[in-house]
Amino acid sequence: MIGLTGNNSSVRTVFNKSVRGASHIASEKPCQDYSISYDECGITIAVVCDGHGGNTYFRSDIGAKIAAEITLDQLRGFAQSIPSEMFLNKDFSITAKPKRNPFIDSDGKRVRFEDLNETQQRYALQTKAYIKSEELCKEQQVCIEELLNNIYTEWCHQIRTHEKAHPFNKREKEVLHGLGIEKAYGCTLLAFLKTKDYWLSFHIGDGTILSCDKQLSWEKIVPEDCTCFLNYTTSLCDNNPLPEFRYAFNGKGSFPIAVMLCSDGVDGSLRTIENLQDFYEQIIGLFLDGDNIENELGSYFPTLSETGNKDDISIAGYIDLESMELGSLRRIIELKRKNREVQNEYRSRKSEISSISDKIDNLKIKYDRLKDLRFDKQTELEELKQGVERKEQELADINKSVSSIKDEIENLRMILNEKNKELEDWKFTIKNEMAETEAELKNTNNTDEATSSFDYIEC
Amino acid sequence: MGKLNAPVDKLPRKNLTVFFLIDTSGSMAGGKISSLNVAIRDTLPMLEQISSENTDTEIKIAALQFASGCDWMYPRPLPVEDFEWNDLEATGLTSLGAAYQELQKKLSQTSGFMQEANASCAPVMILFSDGVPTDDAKHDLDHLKENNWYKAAIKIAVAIGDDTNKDVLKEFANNNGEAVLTVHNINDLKKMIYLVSVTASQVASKGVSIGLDAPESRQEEVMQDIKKAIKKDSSLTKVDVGADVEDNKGSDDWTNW
Repeated sequence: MIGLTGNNSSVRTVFNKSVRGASHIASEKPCQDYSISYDECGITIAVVCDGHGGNTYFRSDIGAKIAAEITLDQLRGFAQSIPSEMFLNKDFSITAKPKRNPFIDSDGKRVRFEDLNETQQRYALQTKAYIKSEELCKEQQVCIEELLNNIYTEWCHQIRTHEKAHPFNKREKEVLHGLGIEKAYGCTLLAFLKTKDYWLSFHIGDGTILSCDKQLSWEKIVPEDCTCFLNYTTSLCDNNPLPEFRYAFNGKGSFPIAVMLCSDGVDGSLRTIENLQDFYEQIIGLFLDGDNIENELGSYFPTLSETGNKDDISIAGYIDLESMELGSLRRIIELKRKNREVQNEYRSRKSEISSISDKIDNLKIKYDRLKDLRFDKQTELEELKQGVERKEQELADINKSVSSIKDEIENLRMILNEKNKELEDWKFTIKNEMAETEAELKNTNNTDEATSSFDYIEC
Repeated sequence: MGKLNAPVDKLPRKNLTVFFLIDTSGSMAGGKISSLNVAIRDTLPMLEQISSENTDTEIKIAALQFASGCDWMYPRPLPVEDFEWNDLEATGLTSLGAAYQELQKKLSQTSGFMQEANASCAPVMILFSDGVPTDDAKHDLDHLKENNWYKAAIKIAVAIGDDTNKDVLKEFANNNGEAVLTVHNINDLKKMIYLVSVTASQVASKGVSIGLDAPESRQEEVMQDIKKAIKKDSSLTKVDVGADVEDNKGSDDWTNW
């Protein structure tokens, strides 16, 4: 590794690093990524392969290593055997070949672009881009497709050789569900080749290839493939993987000052393209400071994987500062770093504001819902209150009636007592009167009638 | 201490949206809907724990109820810690097609709930139903199937009782009959809501890349974990795992509440 401290017109470097992801350390799986870099005789090559993580791909680490090594060999041979004139003054890129017409729906009817959903629109745009490119640089397309075919054919051959030497056991065969052995070795492939006259890059699957110019302006040099979505990726192990490659070349003498290839462990952990660019500029900064890039990557990647998506992490790249004024480059890096810090701070503040706004919106919803609930409860309470009032009134009326009846009973009791008393007095009086009358009657000898009247009163 | 540093810790985590799609038609009234309300509410703290322990992924919840029409509980997915479950009531028809249409609208980065793919995990979708769609659900599902978010999602369906059309649920779950679970009583419904939600969220929050035509999927990984858990739990013998499994047909009991 060579570092720079001032103007230098001869130094460039290639580097690569792969580390086992945090999840693979925890599950005791091997690192399924593989990376290679090469820089000799005016030929620069960087390759990254990411073996898939699902159970079916139980030899994806070996598949990735084989794919990377074959690609290095094939690219070296390609650079040596294909005349540079093939690519001179030409600039071309093409995405993956579409597998179906996006403007025909599942019922076989034509559909308009405006009527497609977001996913279908992306696929339609990709299809249009493919059709546009397909008509250009046909000779070069044939040449590159032959290269890709050679890589794929050799990969299939070598994994078969490996499988013969290390046959699948019964459980592994079960996991494959009778599918081709390629599945067990499935991986992505990202590659970059640079000669003194042109550069060529190709890609199948997820991960990212970024290049930057002298202004540290980054771009994806190979078109994206919208079928690589979330954790689903195209792969060397697909049934017909060659049309799934997308690629680009440039023979117009426009060389990037840096190209970085990474597996999805890097871009997935860094999450945004801005962070990825920031990270790559830090690597360029390490190069300027004369640091050992691979050592620095080796000590940092485990932390990145742990705090990120826990996947294996791979990077391969090259930095060529031959034509750069290094002081100016440092200033640009510093400026961009500060700019990104400001951008990050801005995003962070915006995110905080947005989060508070979201919370307000959600609270508003809860507020409205509670207001409705409160209204319902208030109505219910009012009805209950009115009910209580009615019941209280009824109770008061009943109390009044009870009290009135009680008074009436008391009055009647008093009257009854009086009447009883009057009756007793009257009886006493009558008895006396009757006794007197009887005595008188005795005296007048009318005894029978007088006794009868007296008995009646006694009863 | 190395020189490299990326501000990963300052970034928002990736979003994992868990979609609950809930049949609130009249037939769900009573024990079914009330136990579903309780079970999802009881599951949220566990999802919150999974979310808080994951440095890379934040779980958000979106709940869509469908009956004679369909409604989101909140207008956007909420972080699980902010999500308050509002009890659902059951009445009306079973407009599953309307729910598929609504889901299709929201599975969009530009005009829906989703963020850019780099900042997202494959979503989890759990469908609960006890009946038969009363609209043209198949037609709407065909459209939904064209959506990348739907394609990548882990999809599980829970059939609540014998009257459910399990073929409809199977089609929702990528025609994977294994991903249809049938429950026959309230206790099993509660347990399965917890088990399915938690297991699917755990698997979905892992960042493992697989091929487009992979013979196994994240959904199958979830189902394997769920099947193991069901086997271990002796109280779950009345759960039928698989759209074609009818071992416990006729044992519906929705009264024990």
